[in-house]
Amino acid sequence: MTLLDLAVFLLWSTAVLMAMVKTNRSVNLLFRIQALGEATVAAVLAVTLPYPWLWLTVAAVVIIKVLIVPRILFRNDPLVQGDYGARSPFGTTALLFFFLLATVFALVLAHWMKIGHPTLVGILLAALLVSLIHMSSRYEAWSIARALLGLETICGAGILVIGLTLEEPADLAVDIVALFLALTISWVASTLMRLKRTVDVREIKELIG
Amino acid sequence: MTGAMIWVPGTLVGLGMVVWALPDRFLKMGVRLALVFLLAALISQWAGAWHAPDALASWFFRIIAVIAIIVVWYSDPYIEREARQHRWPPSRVKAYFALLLLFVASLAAVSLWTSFLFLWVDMEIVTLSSVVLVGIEADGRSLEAAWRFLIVTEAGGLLALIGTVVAVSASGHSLGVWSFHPALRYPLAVNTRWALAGAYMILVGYGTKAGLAPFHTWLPDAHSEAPAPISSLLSALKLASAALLIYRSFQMVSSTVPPVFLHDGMIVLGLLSLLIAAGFVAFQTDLKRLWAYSSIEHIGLITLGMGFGGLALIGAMLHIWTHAVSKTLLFQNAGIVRILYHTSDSAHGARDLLARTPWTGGLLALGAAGIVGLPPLAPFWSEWLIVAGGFAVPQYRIFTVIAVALLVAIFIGIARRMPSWLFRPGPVDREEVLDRIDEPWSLLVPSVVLAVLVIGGGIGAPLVAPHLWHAVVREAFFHSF
Repeated sequence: MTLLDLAVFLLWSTAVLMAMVKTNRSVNLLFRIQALGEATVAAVLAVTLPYPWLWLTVAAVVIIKVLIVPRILFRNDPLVQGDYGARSPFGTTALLFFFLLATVFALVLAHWMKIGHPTLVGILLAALLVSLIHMSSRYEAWSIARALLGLETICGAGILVIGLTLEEPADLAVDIVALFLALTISWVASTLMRLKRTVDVREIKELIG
Repeated sequence: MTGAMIWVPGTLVGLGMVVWALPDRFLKMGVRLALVFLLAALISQWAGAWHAPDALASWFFRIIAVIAIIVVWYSDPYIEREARQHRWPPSRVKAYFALLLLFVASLAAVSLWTSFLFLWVDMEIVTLSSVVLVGIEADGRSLEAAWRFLIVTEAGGLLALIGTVVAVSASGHSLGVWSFHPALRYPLAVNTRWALAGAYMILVGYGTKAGLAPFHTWLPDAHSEAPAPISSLLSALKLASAALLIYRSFQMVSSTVPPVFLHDGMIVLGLLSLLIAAGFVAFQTDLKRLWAYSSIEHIGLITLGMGFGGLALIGAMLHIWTHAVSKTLLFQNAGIVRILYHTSDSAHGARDLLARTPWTGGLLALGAAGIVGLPPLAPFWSEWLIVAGGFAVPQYRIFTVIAVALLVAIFIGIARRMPSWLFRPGPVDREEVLDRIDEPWSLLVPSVVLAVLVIGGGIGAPLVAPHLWHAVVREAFFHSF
């Protein structure tokens, strides 16, 4: 197993764990680890490919996603710093079972597609699916926000791994979008939480469907 | 790359920052400067002083410029009243205009930029600025709408990002190139299955941003809770921008993927959108929600036209314009109703509009007649082209018949709802006719301009810009997928 495989596996495992944990503090830590996974992907590619600008990506990911974004998301409201009160609509076991199915599906799909490095790409796809399931399986506003940002991190790593033809630092713009995404999520969610005094989106009637 | 790709959006962003940074007394001056700049950009582009990347980009830029001018013009008196009614602090008014200019700048960039990756970044700026604008009222309902808008469309957006990277790479193109038709860089790396998967991710991702069913769930809330000028921009331009990005991406990927898969994907989502709209319009009591569901219908129609191709594609390009003017008129009209009646819900008192506010009621009647496709109003011509284009292709005739049936159902739904606002007397539980309400001319004049465009803009637009229209038609026929 190479360092690149390991970094991608880290992205997948943090995606799974972020969907399971109950406290905002833990999910914040996991988000930081996931961002380090993306930075590792960029660093490995910077060493192996003739693209020195990838070191800029490494720096941007560490500064934006490891240092700034978690602070933005954690700062606003004492309400979000406590444990989540909401229960998941699925049991933990059911959720894990869905993740297993998604992972198997992603791996089979990547092999069927006959793309280079099918296992690596399969695990990345699986991480993407896990984050998407996370977004629809948890009801806490802050958990959903982390799932969305986690999805962004996985996509950030994905464009480096899959986008073999990316020959300029365009992915930096994608990382900067993550910063603005975090700021927007933080503003909407914290204002919403202050108004509604709840972290459970089921208690916000408009969001039920 | 051309200079216009930078100076058009860049100047608008700069003006937005100036509006935000300077003291309150300079606000109106900043907004008027933005209006003058937009007008100058439109006229200079029309006069050939600078060029957009291709005919379609020129066409879309002109639509964006015209609608943005009218919306910024209308925003000035509208936000003044909205701020007075809902006690907005001056900082919120400034933030509104700064974000509005950022929103317009990013929409202009959609028409002018040509790099698929940077177009994604730009679409994110469109989304994030509009999310904050939807929630700017900062009450429960608007924030809930903004939250849903953010979560659903961002999930879609990220799927579009990965889809773009997959589709471009699997087609053997280079991602970093600023071109709608990037050169084949790695011809041996072409992977049809992977490219098709990327194309469908783009369809779902940008389809979510376009409000296509079944990814439309954010749209009715966001459109109904946003301030009226923002609802106009969302419906008229933001949805069409996302649909156009799908079209551009499919054009690029069609050299690798059999086009029939791309056509079919667009037709399925287009028909589903018409179905969802047909199922919901008849039950709406709030004007803005009604027009939000109508937006799902029309973006479905545009996608359907792109899916049918040929004549229908030309209809879709014209429909981006005719829908934009009609829906801007209707959302601005709903904003006037909200300001004057303190609600746009017929169940809560927005009734008897023709008697109490004849101009507002008349503009609503005209806009509604236009949006359901009554001849000779503007949307009729583009809808006609889409339907005729669908019938012209034998394998799509059955889908066209279904689409026409759904359009008739939507027509009946809107026609049944309209009397609740226009004729039914008095507020709820009271039948007597109330006094007339003074209608502010500062809000009505931009709507009257739009009304003129709704009446004559269908046939008028190609006649006013014949060379550009010919170039758009040529491009649609010869460079489509």
